[in-house]
Amino acid sequence: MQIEVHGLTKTYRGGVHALDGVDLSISGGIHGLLGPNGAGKTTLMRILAGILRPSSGTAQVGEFDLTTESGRAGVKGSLGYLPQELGLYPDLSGREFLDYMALLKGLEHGRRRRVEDLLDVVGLRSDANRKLKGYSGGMKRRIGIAQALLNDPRLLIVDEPTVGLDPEERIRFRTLLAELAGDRTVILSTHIVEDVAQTSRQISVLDSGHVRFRGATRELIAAARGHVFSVHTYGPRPEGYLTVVSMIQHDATTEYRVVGAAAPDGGVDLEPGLEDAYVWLMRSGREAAAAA
Amino acid sequence: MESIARLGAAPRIRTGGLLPALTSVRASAAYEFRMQARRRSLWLVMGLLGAYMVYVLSESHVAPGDTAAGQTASWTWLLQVLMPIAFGVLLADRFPRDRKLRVDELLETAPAPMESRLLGKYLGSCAATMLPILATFGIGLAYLIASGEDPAAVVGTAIPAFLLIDLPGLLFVGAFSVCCPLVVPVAVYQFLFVGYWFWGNLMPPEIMPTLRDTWLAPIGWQAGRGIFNLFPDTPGPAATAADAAISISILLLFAAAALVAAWLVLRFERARG
Repeated sequence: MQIEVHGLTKTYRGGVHALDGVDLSISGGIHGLLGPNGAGKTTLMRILAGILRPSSGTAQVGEFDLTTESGRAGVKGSLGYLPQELGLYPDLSGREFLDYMALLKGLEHGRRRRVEDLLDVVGLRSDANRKLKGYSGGMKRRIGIAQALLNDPRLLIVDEPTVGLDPEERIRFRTLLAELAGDRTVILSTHIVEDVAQTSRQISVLDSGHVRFRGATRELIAAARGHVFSVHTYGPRPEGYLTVVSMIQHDATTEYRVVGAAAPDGGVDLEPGLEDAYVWLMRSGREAAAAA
Repeated sequence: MESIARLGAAPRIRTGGLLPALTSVRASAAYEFRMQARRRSLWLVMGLLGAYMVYVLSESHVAPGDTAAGQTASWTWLLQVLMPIAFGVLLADRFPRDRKLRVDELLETAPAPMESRLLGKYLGSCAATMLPILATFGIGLAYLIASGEDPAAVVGTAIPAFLLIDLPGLLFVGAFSVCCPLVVPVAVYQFLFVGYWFWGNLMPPEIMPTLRDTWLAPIGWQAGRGIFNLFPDTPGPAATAADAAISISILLLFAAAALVAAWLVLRFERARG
């Protein structure tokens, strides 16, 4: 499902500009969406899900024009959505909740079979009759994933889908997303850069309502080459012109993985990963803004 | 989590049109019914109130010396004195609850029309909240029969009496209680509603102007007096069957108007985005 967004803005009451002139073009496969808190990721996804009306600009999802009421209503028939803050009815069982959502999504024939199959896929068949208030955070997340897949959506929008999942579940979920992406468009928003690195070939980075980067993951990584270093110190952590990505405490020294414009004294050039590249992008953007 | 290879063929989906809209009304009604019927507070509050009403019935025999039909109609009206207060209060959190639980965002992404969900929520939650009232009603009827009243007359009167005296008022109260909290905080609505009930239904007009003896009173005065000839000795204007019909029609029209207003509010909120 092709998504075309041009000059998209969203201003909330009170004058908060959540999105400011966003341009995006997303086709099939998994598209990663990264950005700090308040970057506008959730607002963008809520617009693409037809929940929010854009303030200006255009947003086209397949044949649906999301600036119109009919377009926003129409896209919901092709949509699977997992919000960041997943709301569930605590007094319904997992099976009942999925059945309710299935009916609201227009599933009629084969509805019960679909619910049971999805309970199997997310591994909740044995807990399906328990009330949702008794579910752990990870189980609630899995119910959320199941409801998003009920209508076999052509567009799947998932906001922080792996929050609350244990490492094994996270890996299994990433595999599931990769399988789903075969003939669908999946938009994956997350703070967990590793999830994007493992699943998405195309990403967008949002910051303060603007698209800071859009393109192939490898391009973002390539842009960080020459800016990621390893440095061992006996003294205080390097600060100022460097951003520490990680640190390992050795017996006498501390080894830092840092990102910066220039190598620190004794710094060894490292091959960047997506996390390094993201940190470098945000840092260089802040530096450019400060210089301007 | 397992592979999606386990999933069978994609299900057939119907959106748009009358049948899917009716399906979502049915789904919303069924699940709202389930959720409301599982509320402990519903059974606790209504149970205590119902026990008090049955106690009043057993102590006073609402209309001593009256026929079985008269006693049944009196008991039906007696239920309508206090139980709608709990009915309205317990329905007031249905919409705010969706927001509080953050389920509304997920429901908004479903293609089911908003008006279907609104109607389903109203019907399902009202029906569930009526369950303890019906249970109390049934206990009272059983008491009348056990006291020697003619079972055929009791049952034969009970059904039309409930449909004409109690149900229109409950549907009226239910519509306002489900819809008003879309624009008024729940606690404020509940406070105002209780005040309205005592003023508009129970306050004698001699004390202050009230709606009690008008067609607008959901307590069932008009139907009780006009159709079932209740309280012939009570002061106040007499009511005819026509008055009862007009009163019932007005109550149902107001209920429909409240639902339409709620739909417009939801539409406005959605359009404002």
